[in-house]
Amino acid sequence: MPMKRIFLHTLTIRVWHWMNDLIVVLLAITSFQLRIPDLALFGAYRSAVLIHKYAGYAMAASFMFWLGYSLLSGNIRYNYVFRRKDLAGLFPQARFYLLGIFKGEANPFVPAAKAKFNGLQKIAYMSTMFIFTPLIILTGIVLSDIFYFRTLIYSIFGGPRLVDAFHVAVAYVFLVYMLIHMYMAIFLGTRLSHVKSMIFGYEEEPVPENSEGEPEQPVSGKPQ
Amino acid sequence: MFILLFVFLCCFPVVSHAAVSTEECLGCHEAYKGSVHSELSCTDCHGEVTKIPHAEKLPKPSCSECHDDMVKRFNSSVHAIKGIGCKECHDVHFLNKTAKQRIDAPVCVRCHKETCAVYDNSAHYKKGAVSCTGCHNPHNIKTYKELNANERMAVCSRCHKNYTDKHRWLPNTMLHFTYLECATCHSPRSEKSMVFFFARREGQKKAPLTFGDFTGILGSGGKISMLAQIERDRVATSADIEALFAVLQKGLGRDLLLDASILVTKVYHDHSVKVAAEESCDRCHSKEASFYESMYLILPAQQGNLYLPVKGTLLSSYPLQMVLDIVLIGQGKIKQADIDGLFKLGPNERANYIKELGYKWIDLVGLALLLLVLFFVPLHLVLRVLICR
Repeated sequence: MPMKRIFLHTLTIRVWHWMNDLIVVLLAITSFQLRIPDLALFGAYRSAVLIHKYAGYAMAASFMFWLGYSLLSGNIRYNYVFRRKDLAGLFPQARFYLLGIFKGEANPFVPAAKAKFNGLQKIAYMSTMFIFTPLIILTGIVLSDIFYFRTLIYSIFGGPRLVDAFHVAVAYVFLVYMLIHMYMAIFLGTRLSHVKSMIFGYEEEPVPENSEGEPEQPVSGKPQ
Repeated sequence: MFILLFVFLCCFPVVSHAAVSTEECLGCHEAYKGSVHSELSCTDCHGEVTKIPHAEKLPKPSCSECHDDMVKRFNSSVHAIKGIGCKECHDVHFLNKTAKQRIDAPVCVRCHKETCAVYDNSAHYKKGAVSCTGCHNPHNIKTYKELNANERMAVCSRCHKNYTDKHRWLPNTMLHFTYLECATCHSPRSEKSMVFFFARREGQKKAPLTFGDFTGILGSGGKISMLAQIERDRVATSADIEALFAVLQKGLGRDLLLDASILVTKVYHDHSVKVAAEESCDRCHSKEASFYESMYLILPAQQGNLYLPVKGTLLSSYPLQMVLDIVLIGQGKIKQADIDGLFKLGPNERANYIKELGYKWIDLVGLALLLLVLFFVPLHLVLRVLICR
């Protein structure tokens, strides 16, 4: 099977990804201690509270950076917007994850610099970046000072407990997402190719004979 | 003749008052000479004494004739309600000018023996804050249970003005001070409780419902008898609170809320324990926190407040709109018992139980989802390895 080397992730996105990853891991670990204080993952509860708070602010900044960069660079336009072509690819992709993968079939989707994600990925990343991340950031900011945001809390949510409920519910969605994301990133590529691509930018993948993805030569130009 | 008699009768009281002078009184009551009241004549208070020797038992003089404001204030204090009069504390005849009217430990200890004994061993006392009246004003004193957290803190903050600066280490400092009083930490031997009360939203603020609010909304008859029933039982069940909430909501709509705070319900009068070294959050932010052991519903009564022990749990397991304002991180939302309950109960009870779980569903569903993922992800991997081989 021919292999090809594709440039997928710009340096900016790679640096952002790992920074964001660090923030999310910090938030996830501290969140467990906040919810179940007996776990004492960070020693003093106070440390967990403070780390969670400031990591939360960092997350907000990180998201704003990603949004600005992605809008300007075309990342959203090329990689996130769901197109008709993606719809057709949904079933084969799901079939691949549930059946084909066990038979050693090749991934029906081959990423390209201007089309990084398959339909399922687009749904997962779109909902994460445009629904869950903004929701968890907004509820988190509101919870960081419920006095200051009291009017907002009452007019939109009705009370702090509901804000908390939203925040925690979305946090569970994030945890589920993170586990699946990590599994797929580590175990679905060829020899950690997905992880490597997020470090070095290039991904090396076998190209199936009848792939829908356009065969592409190694790209040295400016990817999106 | 009649005119002469009229003049005589009119003059008689004056003549008789003048008949008993202060000097004459002091002839027997010499010890009263240095009293703060010595500027007055004895008959200003004991007007009924018209001759000497007078009756052995004289009627009680009314202090309010001169100390009107003070007496009015005093009459609404718990001291007056318990039947204590001015004379129980103030010895009006021996009150001397230099000591002024200040009443202190030697007087207070007559009734508050245990409290004074504890206080005498506290750092406050040892460091020179020896006077009870330094913190308490006996003329408008309320029972401890009548004071809310803010009023209790106001007592401490008269001296400890920079308390917020000293507690900067505490995340969300001001939030803590809204729901806690100083004694929560600085009097570890006091009993702490989580107390619930009905309040109404007023713009950005919340005001606890008063007795007037209750009677205004509940009216007389059936509804108020429900309240009376709760009071008679001396305990509030979760069903009581839910029913009361529903009735009050008809009057106040969305402005009604059930609020909570942590209050000291049994005072140990040593408020000088420094806990700076501990600074541990999980004494409270844990399901093991002591205040979950004693929870109360506070209902305003005609005089003071009623503290009704709450049976069962309130946190997180109540209808959504009821506990919107109560959220305490780290309360350890789900327990083994919650999960057991789902499987062990009969079908009818289970339906009710599912409703009662309320906000706990977030954690139950969330953790179930996580477990499913943790099961299926390795399964996917193992199957891949096995089948591909």
